[in-house]
Amino acid sequence: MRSGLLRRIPRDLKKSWTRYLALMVLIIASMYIVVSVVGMTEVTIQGTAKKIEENRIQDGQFQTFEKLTTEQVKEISDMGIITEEIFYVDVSHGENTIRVGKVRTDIDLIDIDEGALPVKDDEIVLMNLYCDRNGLSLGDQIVIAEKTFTISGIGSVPDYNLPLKNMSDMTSDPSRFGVGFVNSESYEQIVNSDNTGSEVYIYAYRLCGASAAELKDKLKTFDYDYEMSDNVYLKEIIDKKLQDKYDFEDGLDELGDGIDELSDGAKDLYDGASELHDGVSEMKDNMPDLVDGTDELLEGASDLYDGVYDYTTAVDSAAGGANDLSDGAVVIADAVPPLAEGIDDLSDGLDEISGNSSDLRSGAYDLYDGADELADGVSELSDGVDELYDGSEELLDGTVELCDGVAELSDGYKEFKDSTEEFLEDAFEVDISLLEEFTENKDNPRIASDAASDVLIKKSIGLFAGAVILALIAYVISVFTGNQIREESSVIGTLFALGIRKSEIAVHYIILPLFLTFVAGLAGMLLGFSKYGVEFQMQDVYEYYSVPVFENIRPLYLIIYCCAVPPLIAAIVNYLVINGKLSSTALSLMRNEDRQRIKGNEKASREKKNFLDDFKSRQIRRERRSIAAVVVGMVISLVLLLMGVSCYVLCNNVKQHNIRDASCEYTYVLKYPPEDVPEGAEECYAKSLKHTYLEYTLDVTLYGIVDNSSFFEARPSKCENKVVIGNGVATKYSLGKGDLLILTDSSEDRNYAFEIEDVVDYSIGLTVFMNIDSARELFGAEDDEYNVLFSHDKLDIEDGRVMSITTRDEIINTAGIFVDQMMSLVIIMISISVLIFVTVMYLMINVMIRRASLSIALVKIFGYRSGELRRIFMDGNFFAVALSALVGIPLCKTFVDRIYPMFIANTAMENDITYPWWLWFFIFAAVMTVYFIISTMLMGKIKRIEPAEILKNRE
Amino acid sequence: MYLTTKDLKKSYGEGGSYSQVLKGINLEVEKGEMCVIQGTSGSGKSTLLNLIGGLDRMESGSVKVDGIEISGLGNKALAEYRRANLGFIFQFYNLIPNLTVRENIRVCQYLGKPAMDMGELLDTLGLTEHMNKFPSQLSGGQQQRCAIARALIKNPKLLLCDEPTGALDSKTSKDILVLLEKVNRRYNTTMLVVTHNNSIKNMMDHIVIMKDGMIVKNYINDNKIEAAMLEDL
Repeated sequence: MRSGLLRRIPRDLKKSWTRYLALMVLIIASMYIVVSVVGMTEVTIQGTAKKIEENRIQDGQFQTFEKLTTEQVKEISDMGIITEEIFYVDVSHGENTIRVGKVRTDIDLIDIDEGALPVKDDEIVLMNLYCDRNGLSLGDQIVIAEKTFTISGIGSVPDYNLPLKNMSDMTSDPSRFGVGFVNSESYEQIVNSDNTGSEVYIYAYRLCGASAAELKDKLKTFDYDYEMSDNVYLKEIIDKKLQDKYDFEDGLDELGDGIDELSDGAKDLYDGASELHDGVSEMKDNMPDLVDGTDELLEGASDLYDGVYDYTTAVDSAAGGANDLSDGAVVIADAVPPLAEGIDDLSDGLDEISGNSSDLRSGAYDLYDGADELADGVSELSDGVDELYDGSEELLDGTVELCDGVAELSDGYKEFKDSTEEFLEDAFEVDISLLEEFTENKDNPRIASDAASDVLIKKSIGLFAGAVILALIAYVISVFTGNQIREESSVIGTLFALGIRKSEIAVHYIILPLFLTFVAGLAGMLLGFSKYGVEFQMQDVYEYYSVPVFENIRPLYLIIYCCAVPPLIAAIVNYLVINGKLSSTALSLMRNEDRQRIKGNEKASREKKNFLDDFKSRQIRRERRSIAAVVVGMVISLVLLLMGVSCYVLCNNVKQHNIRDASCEYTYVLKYPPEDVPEGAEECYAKSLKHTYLEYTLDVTLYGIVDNSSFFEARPSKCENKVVIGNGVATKYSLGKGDLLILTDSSEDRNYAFEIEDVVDYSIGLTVFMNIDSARELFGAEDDEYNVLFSHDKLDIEDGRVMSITTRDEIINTAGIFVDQMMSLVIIMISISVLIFVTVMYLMINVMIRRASLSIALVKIFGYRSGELRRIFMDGNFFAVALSALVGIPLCKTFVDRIYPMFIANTAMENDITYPWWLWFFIFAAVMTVYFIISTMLMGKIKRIEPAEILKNRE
Repeated sequence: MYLTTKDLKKSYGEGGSYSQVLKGINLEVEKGEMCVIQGTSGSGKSTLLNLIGGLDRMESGSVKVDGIEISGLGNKALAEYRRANLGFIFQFYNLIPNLTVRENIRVCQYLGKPAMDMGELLDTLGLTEHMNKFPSQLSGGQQQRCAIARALIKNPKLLLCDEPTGALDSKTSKDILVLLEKVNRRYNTTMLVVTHNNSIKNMMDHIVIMKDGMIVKNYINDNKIEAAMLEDL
């Protein structure tokens, strides 16, 4: 009996080969994608871990302004920490940049893919990705720093796993940037040659038990003797920084001289005051004599006046007598002419005397008045002399105090000068911090965003997708099996009635799905592990990361997942369905009764006007499990599809936004900025800070920009705690106006909290904007300090001043490369999603058609037309698919929006996956188109159903 | 003549498995006639019915129903032919399991222009109280009555019945046959009944006996009795 039954199996396979094939395709595709993605992640993770050990990857690195001294290095090594100088200079190789360093010996060793380390002075090892992108091979020659080098080896280093030129770069461009290593002698030649950038001093470290914090603290204690430096640009900056100190010291000296002069003046003043005091004293002493003299003078004047008065009175009397005499003389004169003449003369003489005496009396009177006023004046003089004396005494006292004060001032100045010198040492310490950057591995995107870290997410997605796909497969198998068992109900009932045990029947029905799912799982696994699977997926790793070629591995859990899980699911699902079926009586099975289902789930519906709609809704209810499977499959497919589409949208948005926002042709990052901003350029004070999100720490560039910048739309206010953010930051961290943004200065261990005052279009990297003066103030920079220049034209700046130059073309190229790099993932995700969607839909609709084959045959017998058949048996699917698409697309997009930030959390780029309006319609149209293609195929199947055959089989 | 077949042939399989099921059937049935086709299992009677019903493709020959030659018709035209002319009753009822009695009948009511009255038909067939039940909730006789109602609701010109009482007990079989007779009389419906039950032929106007794919007897029943009088069903 059993052997007879077994013959049914190949016949069943032959009869239903399309359904089985579709199921196998679903399993093969699912296993393939899970194995290839997860296998790739395992190869990468385990390979990276192995190479990390072999190549002694750094625990971190720090950059110093100048080389550490031998003593400083020793201090670090005394802590048990190993360091390695991984200094470099950037040199031009055509349009590209090669970062040249010395061959490492202790940390971050070079892993040679082919060739050997450089031994001769003209040999160089180049990064594998750079060689690949630029068509360079072993033995080729390149010219850098005006010297020809032969490529002696091609390889990679662990600290440039993701070969970012700058840590803040959004993505790498290995076609334009590579890393190379030469021997020590060649390196020194390159450093000392013209046309190279300034040397960058980076030390890699391995903690060997110490802590990074201890090392950082130690580095902060290191003094930097800049006077020892022979770097002219550095000295220029230091001189500029010290100019204020010198000015201050000159002022201090002038102040000292002034105080000395003040001291001398005070002494002279004292001397003068003393002399004045003496003179006044003398004057005071002589004043009584003056007063007495004046009194005597007054008395004399009085006596004189009295005498004059008497005299004038006598004269007046004489004049009267003379007049009388004259009168008498007139008479006589007539008689004696000569007497008359004498009398006339006498009279005239008397008149004259009289006139003179009058003058004399006036004079005596005036003399008296004068003497009187003199007496009053002397009296006042005496009082004044007394006051003058008092004043001279006070002056003398004050002068003495002045002298004391000046003496104290002089002493104070001396103390001030002494203390000021100390103050100046502190205040004008040239704070060119020796430690420029301190970066632990977890914060270093070249290492933290390495292939292994990147694929961790893919592993999670792969395993998650694997679990979801398994659930889908289980569900599909259950629907598939349930339908088959229903179809075989009478056969099973007959076998049951004939005495065959449940277990034997179950085994019989389990064998084929078990075998097929095993074969499909195995095929999927083999395909996944083949060069079309893991190796194909690895291409993304090898094209994006500079890593050694990893050894292929085949994790046991993936083998079990593929070979055991699908058959196990098939066995369990089949067993449960068959066991449930065999709980009915044999007769019930033979009659193919399904009372329980109808009793429990079906109710007679109210009669509708349109019978076809009634029939259709009945059909939909009957096929709800299959429709649910279609919907579930569709949702899973949609999630994968939208992941792929979102990936494309993101890449495209990044590219378009970068083109839009790359407003300046040249961005110069300067290590030693010239004192004056070159003409045509706009200065900026930039600070590289960090922000941690979803456990990933990324560089956020703060641009302190000038008012009304001609390169940026941002207009930050003059405020030290407010920033304007680019929408790259806004979308990446879901921030908006009024939110708080915390940024960290890792070298200072300091957090800054900024209020976001505006969001502007700027998506190049992660950038925030601040007013340049506020930025200088906040970060303790000089009033006119800057370190970045933006320009529309190439600037004439010495190479030694420049740390890096980024051109607009480079930014746009990088964004374009990002699109190219992600495109394979986009295509795979969209292809797989379409495959799952098509397969699940095909399987489920096929199941529905098979289940409805009798009904279809009957209504065909009754004369139903194709359109009516489609309406009854396919429209339910159409509505389910259309409704699921209408609801599912936005819901799945929301879900993708939620989870997407996790996938790109380690990439310093915006997260704008906003779909243009037409894309929504396009996706919906694509889903419906796929549905119409499948439904048209299956309508052909409905048309091919032969009513007579169905009836015959039924009978 | 309402129905005519000429030299109708049908075979299945190839090579060693080749089997000619119909070997040149010539048959004529008048309008309103009740014709029975009898024969043993494998005689080709169901195949003949399927060819007349346009459910299967003939190998050669012709079938003309109400003046329509169906041998050259495509699937679409055949569907229209069935839609316009035919009603089917099967041995195993072939009701649509997830439709109620009423809904199963409506499947064909939808096609009939003008259709018969649903209530009257349900009353006539004693299905009124069962009209909201699903097929699995009915007895065999009830299911077959439902199938008859479904076939009659659109008032077909030609009713093809394949073992209509084959799965029924004697009493129910008689009830069904009485019902068919009543329909025939009321609507002058031409009926072609395939059966192996020897008693049924007694109520038929026209009797055809088949054996090994050929008609071995073909005659008008002059001793026709009413269905209610049938015995040994």
